[in-house]
Amino acid sequence: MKKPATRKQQIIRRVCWILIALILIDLIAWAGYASDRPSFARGVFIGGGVAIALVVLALVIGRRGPTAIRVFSGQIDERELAIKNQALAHSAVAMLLTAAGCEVGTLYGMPALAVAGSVIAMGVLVGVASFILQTRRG
Amino acid sequence: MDNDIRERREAAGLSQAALGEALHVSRQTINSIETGRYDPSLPLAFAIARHFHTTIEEVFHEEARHP
Repeated sequence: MKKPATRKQQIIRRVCWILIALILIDLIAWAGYASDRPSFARGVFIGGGVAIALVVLALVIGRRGPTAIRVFSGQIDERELAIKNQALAHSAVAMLLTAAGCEVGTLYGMPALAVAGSVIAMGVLVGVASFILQTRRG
Repeated sequence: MDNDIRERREAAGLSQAALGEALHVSRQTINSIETGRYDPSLPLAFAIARHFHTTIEEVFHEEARHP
């Protein structure tokens, strides 16, 4: 059985993930600026910054918080881990089906940004809905 | 699986949250195990049995199979 991480290891791991997220946000925003889309880049900074702030808040609240906070901060037990994995699987299937549907949509002029947005939105919606339903059912 | 965790917990004067804290799981997980909606993993089942100073077989009972 894998040994649980020490408190110091957990903190280092979380700091690394936050740094990686910050770098990713910078890269995506840079792509926006490089392609002469400053409003896109500003949106990435704002949205990404809010997301990271929420994660840090979730980490601070920690185990004391409700299920969603614990999932967000990665401090979940085995049952919640199973629920999260199942929700992610449902999300992946939904994204696959949406992508297939959007392929047909492109034949009728659906723009690429709408395709990308639809796939992501459906993934998030189905993932969240699946998580909530599973959590309520136990 | 059926279990008598609720009875053992109440006999010990513990809340679901307190038992969850002792076993490093959430209150909701304890509730799900007690109501049979979730079967714990082997390590967690052992931890539960150890907490109540008994064996897994004493705590968890296989449900009767219907033909």
